Order: sequence, then C-alpha cells, then structure tokens
Amino acid sequence: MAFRIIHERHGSNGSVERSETRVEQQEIVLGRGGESDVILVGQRIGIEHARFAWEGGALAVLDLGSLAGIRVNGRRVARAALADGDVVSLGDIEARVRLQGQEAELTLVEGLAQPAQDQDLAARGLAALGIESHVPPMRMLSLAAAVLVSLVFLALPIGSGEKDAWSTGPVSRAHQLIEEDCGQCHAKPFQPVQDAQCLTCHHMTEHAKGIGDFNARHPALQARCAQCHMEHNGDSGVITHDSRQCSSCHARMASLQPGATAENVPSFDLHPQFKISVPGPQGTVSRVSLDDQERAVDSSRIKLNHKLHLKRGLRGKEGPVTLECGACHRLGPDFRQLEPIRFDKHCRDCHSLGFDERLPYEEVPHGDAESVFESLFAAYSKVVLLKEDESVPNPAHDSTRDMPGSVPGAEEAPVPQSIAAVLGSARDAEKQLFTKTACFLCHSIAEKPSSEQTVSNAHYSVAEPNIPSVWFPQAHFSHGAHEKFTCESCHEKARGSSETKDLLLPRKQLCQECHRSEDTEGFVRSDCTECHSYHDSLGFPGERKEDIASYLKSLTR
Amino acid sequence: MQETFISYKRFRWLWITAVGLLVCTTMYALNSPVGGNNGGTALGYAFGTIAALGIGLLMAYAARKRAYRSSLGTVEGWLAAHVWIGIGLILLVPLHSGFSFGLDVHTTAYVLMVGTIATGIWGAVNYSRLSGKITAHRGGATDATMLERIGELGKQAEALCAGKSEAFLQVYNAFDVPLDLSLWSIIVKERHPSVNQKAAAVMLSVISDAEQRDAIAMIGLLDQRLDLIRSLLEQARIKALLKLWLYTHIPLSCALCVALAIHIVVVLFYR
Repeated sequence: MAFRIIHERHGSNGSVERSETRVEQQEIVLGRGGESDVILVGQRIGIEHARFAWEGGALAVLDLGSLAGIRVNGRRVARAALADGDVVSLGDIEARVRLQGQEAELTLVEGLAQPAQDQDLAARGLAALGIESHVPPMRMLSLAAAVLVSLVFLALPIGSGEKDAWSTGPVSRAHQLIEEDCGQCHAKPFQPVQDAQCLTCHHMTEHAKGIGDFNARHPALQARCAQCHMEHNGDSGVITHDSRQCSSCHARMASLQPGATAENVPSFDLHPQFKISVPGPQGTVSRVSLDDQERAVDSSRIKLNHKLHLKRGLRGKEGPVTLECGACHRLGPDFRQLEPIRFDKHCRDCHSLGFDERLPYEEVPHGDAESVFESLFAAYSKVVLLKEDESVPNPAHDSTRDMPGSVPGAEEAPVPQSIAAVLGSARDAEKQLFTKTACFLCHSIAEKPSSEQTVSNAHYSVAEPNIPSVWFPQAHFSHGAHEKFTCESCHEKARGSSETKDLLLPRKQLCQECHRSEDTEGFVRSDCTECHSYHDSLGFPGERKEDIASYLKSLTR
Repeated sequence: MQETFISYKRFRWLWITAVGLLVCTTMYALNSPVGGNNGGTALGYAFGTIAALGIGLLMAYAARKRAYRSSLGTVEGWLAAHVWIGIGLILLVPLHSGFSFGLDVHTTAYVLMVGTIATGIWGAVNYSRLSGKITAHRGGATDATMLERIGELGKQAEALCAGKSEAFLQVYNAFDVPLDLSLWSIIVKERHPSVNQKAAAVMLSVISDAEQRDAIAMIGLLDQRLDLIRSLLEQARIKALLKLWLYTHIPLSCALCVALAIHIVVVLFYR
C-alpha cells in the first residue's frame, strides 16, 4: 500500500517544476493546511481538501468538506472509487491517477490551463466565441486550395505525363492509339493543329491536296484538315456528315473563286440539276445537265431497244419469255452498283451467234471482226475436211427456229470443195452476220473500203460501243439501298424507250420526292455526303507502311 | 421593403444579368454549329470570354471593397453586381461549354465556380436573415462580463455542494452542464438545455429537508447559468455564421482562379 506523488508546478512563463516522493501509507490527505500529507497551494484548495485511501485493495477518494469540492472525470462527487487513468480535480489542481498493483501514482498538476469552468474562463472563453480560434487563417486556407488545384491539375499532369485532366473531351476511336501523346497532333503550342500532323499518317487523295492550292489562291480562308475533322468530340466530330462543311464554300463558289464554273450548291433542296459526264474530244469530259434535252443523250454506239426487250412473250431458246429489268441489270457484289452488261452473260441466251443452220453447233465468238472472220473460215474448212470422211452426217438440218442470228430460210448449203469454196462460204456468212443478222442487230458496222479489203482479213469493222459504265462519276448511288423499289419507279421511261439515245436516268426532282436537305417529317434527310465524298478511298502508300509491333513501341503510352 | 444589396436600385443588377442571359440563351438556341455547341465554336469563345471577364469583375470586388478612397461606383452597387452576375455565371458557363462536362480541369473549374457562388449565396442568405438579429446582451453586458457571470454562477452552485449528501451531488451533476465552446457547439448543437423542472422535482424529493433549501438555490443558480450560456452562444452562432461562409467562399474562389487559369492556358496551348 503505497503512494507515489509526482508534483508538477507549471509557471506562467512555461517553466515546469517537478518533484517526486513515495510514501508507504494506507491513506494520504491533500490540502492547503500544514497538517496535510501533501501540501497544495491554491485559492480554491481547502485546508484539508481530499483524502486518497486504500480500502480493501481498491483506491478511493473522499471529499473532506472543501468549498470547491472534488470532481472525478468532471463529475462532482463526495466520495468515489478510482480506476487507472481517472482524473481528479481539486479546485485548481488536477490529479491524474495511475494504479500499479498496490501502488497508486498521483500526478498533481498545478497551474496548467484548466477546463473552462475555472477562473480564467472569461479570457479564454472570449476567444473561443469567435470562429477565428477554431479555423485556420483565411489566407492559409486560400493558399492551400490554390496549391491543391495547381498540384492536381498542373504539377501532376506535367510530372506524370498523364494529361487526361486537360483533355476537352474523348478523341475518336480512330485516334485512341495516339490519344496519350498530345504532341502527335498538337505539334506547336498555341497553334491550331496543322495539316502536316495529319499527313504524317494519312495519305491523301488529290482532292484533299487541292486544298493547298486553294489556300495559296485564297490565303484568307486557310482551310485545314482540322476545320472539317474536329477532334475531342468522340466519334461524332471527326467525320461529320454535316452539309455545312461543304456549303460553307460551295454555297458561294462564285464569290470565293471569281470566274469559277462551279455552280453554287447551298443544299440538296437547292441542288442544280444532275449533270452527266460526257466524253469529249481528246480525253476531255464535258458535263451536261439532264435538263439539256439536246445534249443529254446516250451516245453509246450500240443499238438497244428497251421497249422491244420488255415486250411480253419474246421468243427464247426454250420457248416464249418475258424479260424484266433484272434479267439484264443485276446488282453487283458490292450491293451498290449494277454489274456491267456483258454479251456472254446477259445477251447470249437469246442472241445466238450461229451463222449457218446446217452447222447448229457452230457460233462465231463475240469479239472483233477479225476473230469472227477467222472462226467462219475455220468452221467451213472443217466441214470440207470432215466431208472427206463419209461417216460424219451432213450437218444440214431443217430447224424451225427463227432466232436472232440464225439464217432464215437457208437452203442446203453446198459443200465447199476447195479453199475458194471455203472462202466464198465464209465471206457469205460474214456478210450475213455484219449486214443483216447477229452483229448487225446491236452494233454499228462499217464495211471497209475495198482498198483495205484483202483475201484474208475481215471486210467489216465494228465501232467501239463506248457504253459509259458510270454516268455520274462525282456521285455515288446505291442501287442496293433502293432495292425495295421497282426499277421503273426511278427509270420511268424505260418501258417506252425504243432508241439508244434515250437517257433513262432519274432527274433530281425524282430524288427529291423522298430526299430533303433538312430534317423533314416523312423525308430522308440527305446531306452532301449522301451522294458525294470529299476524299476518295484512302490508300496508304507501300513505302510508308509499318510493322504493328514497332509502331506500338513508338507510341508514348 | 428596405433596400439591401440584393434589391439595390430596384434590382438593377438582377435585370441586367437576366437580360444578358436571355440574349445569350437565345443566341445559343439559334446557333447550330457543325459538330454541335462547344467551347471551341465562335459563340463558345465569346461566352467563355464574357464569363472570364465576369469572374474578373467578381474578384475585383475584393479590391474595390478595400479601396476606401475609390469613387468608382458605391461598394453597395459593386456588391449587388457581385451577387447577381455571380448567379448568372451558373448558366453562362454551361452555354460556353455546350453543356458538356467531364472529369477534367475544365469541369473542375466550373464545379469550383458553382461552389464559390453557392457559398456566396449562403453568405447573402445569412446576412439577410441574421444580421438583424445581432443584439446586445441583457443589460448591455459584453461577452466578457457574460462569461464572468457564467463562471461566478457555476462557482456559487459548486460552493453549495460542500459537505452535502450523495443525492445532493447527483442533482448538481445532472444540471452542471460544462460550457462547451467548440465550433460544433456554437454553430449547430444545442448543448445547454435549461433545467428540466420535472426531473429536478423528482430529484429534490429524495433530498433531506436540511439540504432542500440549498438544493433549490443551487438548481436556480445552474438554470440561470444555462440561460446565460444559451443567450451568449446564440449571439456567437449568429456572428460565426456571418463569417464562416467567407472561410469557404474565399478559398474556393482562389482555387477557382487557379483552375480557370489552367483551363484557359490548356485550351489555348492545345488549340
């Protein structure tokens, strides 16, 4: 049963005086009076203020009737059992209790700041009433906030190279590989993205290169790739289909380029009539409006009668047939364009190239006039050679077929007995084919002048048909996208057309029955890119191709 | 109604801001740039410039407020403009950005701006609601004399406990609520309720007749003490609320200025 008394006296100047004594006693009395075991100094300390006593192995404190009384952990008590860590207040003095077995350690603190209850409450409480004593100074808070923002959004991006926090929006998927490396596009600070950065990767077609010349002529405009291809808007910005990208210039071509032949095209609603490209002299191409009825004609040198072909019950190889557009005009594998018309594929079924009924298995090739004559000569030569072998039956037969290319009412052909006879038969057949039957039906044929005719060459020539494969090379039209509709809903005059020169192309008014340049209920909104492309398909030049692995390595990520 | 900085000159700055916003919103609605509205369009740049100048004007209020010799408008007029233009910026900035937001320094600048404005509104509301409630303590006492009196009452009650029974001390402990001067206590919590008379009566009933007189006197003293504490803290709360908003408003505005500067430099650096 012992007490260890540690006495701490705190001076007002911050000095601390410490003394320690140990007494082997059952109880000790603390007070101002000289009889006390521990003498305390203080206005609110009683002469005999409190008694600490060991009672049956436990420590207790008893108020000896002092005016200020005693408090254990803030609560006023007359007597209380004490536990390790309790704080006993005796007026101005605080006693901290530590229990170690049978020894009680009392740390008496004198002169330390007391709870607000005590005498200098007024002075300290006054300060506590204002919030300045509770929060850091405003300048410090402001500085801390400014420094925090600078660290997160300036120091961190520069230090780590992670500049996501600076990005004004997501880049398009096409550029996600190089997203982390801002310098790939933003080469110079405070300068808009230059075309040179785009051209590092993108191989451009002539139309885009033309922008350079255009800028040289119109320095004020300074058109750049990035003006149309706007990044950091996700996928929506980099390739926009907004007509204003085009119409910002094309609506006022005349004022932009004085003397320009291009018409102003503000929108599809105000689009000029479609123009076909017509080959002119020396490889030139002239563009003719579909409204120009005299010049807008099909000048192909082929005889084509749509009206005749669409008649019901035409004589076909195996009986009567009725042709529809799709019999000859078929959608190509790209689901956009129609396959070009080929004789072998589209015509041959009906248009036989036979030349002699007695030789039903013989046909001339669909080629040039020379090949035709050569095959005729070969066919009749074969007949002569075979005639010498009697086992071969006479090829003559009485077919009732009357088909284009056959020789109507042909009689039993005399079997040629010599080269002269072979030549004679071949020349007769040639004349038939080129002036009355097969070739003559479709092609524009001319007989060669006698000066050019020899024994062995063809005596006729066939004009190149020159069927245009594309009428509108500057626009793309998808037949596949319009497959729901009958051909004649657009090619209205096809069924009545009997002449090659009839141009059966739809005019813009027909397209405008469904297509409008603005969002309009019941119409398809059609921007310029619906039919036109600015850049043609992009090809990457072989010498600039890279290995994926080394490219990825070159990226900063 | 008495004119305040809110209603200054018949809400002059409210009208100026409202008309300005109406013009900007109409322009925004009529504008349909390729790629959609965003900060990089001509109108986006224009709105961004106006907003930045607006923020500059709001910051300049701090200088004007301290320039006592300045005759550039009245401080009250400046404050009215400060409040209404600030509120207008909440809409102008989204018009600038085309209402696009992200996890970046640009949106952070906007969030900080909205935070600054919100704390400013908090301050303005505090001023209009609370500034009239600042009164002198009863009898014109100062905070210091109030505190002194609170201390005295506490000590008087404490002195009555000397040599009293355990039951008496229990009553004392029940109503001797320590004076809590933490910020939380000042601003939010009512931590000093007056003496519950019913509970006091129950407790008094078990106290011996000899101690009854002192017990009643002690409860009276403690109740009086709690009364004083509450009236002291009520005034402290009002004064604190009139200042505390500024401790959020000013640091947020400093953070905003830094974020805005980074925003401007970054968007111009990477054009």
